Amino acid sequence: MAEPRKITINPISRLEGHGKVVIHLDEKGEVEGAQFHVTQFRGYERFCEGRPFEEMPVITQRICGICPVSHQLASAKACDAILGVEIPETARLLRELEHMGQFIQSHALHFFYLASPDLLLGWDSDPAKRNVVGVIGAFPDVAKKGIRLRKFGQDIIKALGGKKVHPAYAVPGGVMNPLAKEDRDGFLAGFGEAYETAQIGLDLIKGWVEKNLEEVRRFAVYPSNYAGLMDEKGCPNMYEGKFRVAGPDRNVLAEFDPRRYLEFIGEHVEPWSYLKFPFFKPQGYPDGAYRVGPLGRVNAADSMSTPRADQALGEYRRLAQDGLEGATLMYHYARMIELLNCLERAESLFKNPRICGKDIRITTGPSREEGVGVIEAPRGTLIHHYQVDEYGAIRKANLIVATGHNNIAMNRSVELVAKEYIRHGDVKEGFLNRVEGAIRSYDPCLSCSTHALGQMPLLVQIFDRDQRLVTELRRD
Amino acid sequence: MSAEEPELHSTWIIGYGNPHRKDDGIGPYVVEKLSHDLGGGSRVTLRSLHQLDPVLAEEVQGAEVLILVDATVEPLERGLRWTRIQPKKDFSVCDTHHLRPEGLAGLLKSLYQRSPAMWVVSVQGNDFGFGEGLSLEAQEKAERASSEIVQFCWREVIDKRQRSINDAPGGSR
Repeated sequence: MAEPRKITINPISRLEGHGKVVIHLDEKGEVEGAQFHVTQFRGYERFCEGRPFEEMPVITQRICGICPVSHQLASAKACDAILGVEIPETARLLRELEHMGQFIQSHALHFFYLASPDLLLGWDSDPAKRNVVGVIGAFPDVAKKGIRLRKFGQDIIKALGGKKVHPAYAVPGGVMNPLAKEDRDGFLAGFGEAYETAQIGLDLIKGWVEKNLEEVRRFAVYPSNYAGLMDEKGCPNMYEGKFRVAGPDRNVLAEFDPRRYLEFIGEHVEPWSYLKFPFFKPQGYPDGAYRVGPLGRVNAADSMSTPRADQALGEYRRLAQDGLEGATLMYHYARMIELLNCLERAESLFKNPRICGKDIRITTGPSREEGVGVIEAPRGTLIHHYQVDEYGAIRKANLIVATGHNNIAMNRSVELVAKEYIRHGDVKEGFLNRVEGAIRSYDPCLSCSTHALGQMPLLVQIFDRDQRLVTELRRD
Repeated sequence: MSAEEPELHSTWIIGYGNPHRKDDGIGPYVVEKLSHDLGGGSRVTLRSLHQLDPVLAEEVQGAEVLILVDATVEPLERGLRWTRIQPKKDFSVCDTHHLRPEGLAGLLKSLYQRSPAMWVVSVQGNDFGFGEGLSLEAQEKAERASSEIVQFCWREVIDKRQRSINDAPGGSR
């Protein structure tokens, strides 16, 4: 009888953070299961305990260098709730504008730097050249435009918060600085080129999907739930809204005030990963898996809130019918629809007469012992939940980040790709590229998602050469 | 597209590192010192960054001289070292938001057909623990680096003036 085998892929490239994939084969060499291990360990929830709650927007944004603004905003919203205030309208507009800058830079980064090598150069091209350097060599204009679009988003963040990364801007009760009129006018002049670049991205992914329909249909396709914050018209809203969970047919399963997330979302723990596995409680674990981020939001939405993005959604829906909505590679398409949506939203915010207002912050002391802040980060829903003592010191912090929401889905995607590319123990050419590509579609941020310390069980298993378990070390 | 278009200054000095990890903040420290030592009319653009980023290529594409200042754990004979950076054909962009100096040079060459004279000034740090402020040893080296950069900039100015005189009609060329 053939021995069971184990294939390990480590590290996985072009991700933020570190991950490992382990694939278990049965005695016939068929894939029995796959695990996407997250081996990084951060500890944010624990070391925030005891800190004054006002510090949380500054501390927690350090979780990530790609989406610090999202952490800062979710944190500031949780702190607003502890203060018991509704922030001034101008502050709300400015926070959303900062968030749009974040989406623009993050989505441009992912598409033009990380995903484009697979799409433009091909899955099976030389791995040494299948990176952004290869794209620069083959498509310098696309690369240049991608860099400029990312800079556009970063410059919005910098104009508001003084820095492109880790800006000090959103604070409990509002924001730090008003927007200068000359900055507003400068940005408004730049939208023409930004739309043009976003449209290039959209055309590129649409053309790629049309040309590679067979691959898209075969690649990690499965029906799942989809989730994200929606406004009152059922359009994705990145800053606020109700949390919608939609089924595989896009039927709404639940829509609720995200502050009630504990009633609807459970967190499962597996001993082999530092990343928890959130699930939709009414369906249990693992059936209650859902996907967040661009695919989750776009598939859960009724429409998009802006005209260009809504038109793009119509084309996406026509292409995605017949089951393609569950295709993992459609994440890239959904991301480009959102890029357009965020540009339109940012332009509309810059044109809002109140955007340069001076009433930007309410200063007061804490009036509540608990606050929940929920926002859509580029990678998906981000939840910050704090409990404080009578002095405003953090007693408990719970953070659920986008990559965590997608954890079950990422594992499932890896397993599906493995089943497609491993038969009778033979690993087909191009397998490694596609496993990485499946995970990369979710744009996971592993640095963000491994922040808990001390609560998770650890399991170390040692196998002999016949794959029999000989020693097990456990910390419950 | 942006409110911030590329600045066509001839010399850029970029100090990078994490000021919250003590001596890793040598780069930003040197830039802060240079902002006083170089004076306002020097036509030198100073920038402090956490780390190099691919977008930086877009911003510095107009530079003729580019000096990067970074902390290093490597023991150095003088405590600091100047290294000339050349663009490499097979340069690698490390990850999504981090770039090596050779990567920046490569991006400038590939995307903008620019090859500024580029140096990395590495300054030896001793203490990279959590906290702000440099160790005394690192501070001394950082100040020496700053003095050398000032001297370098003045030499550049003098050389440029000399070239301009030589190139002028009736010049000595």
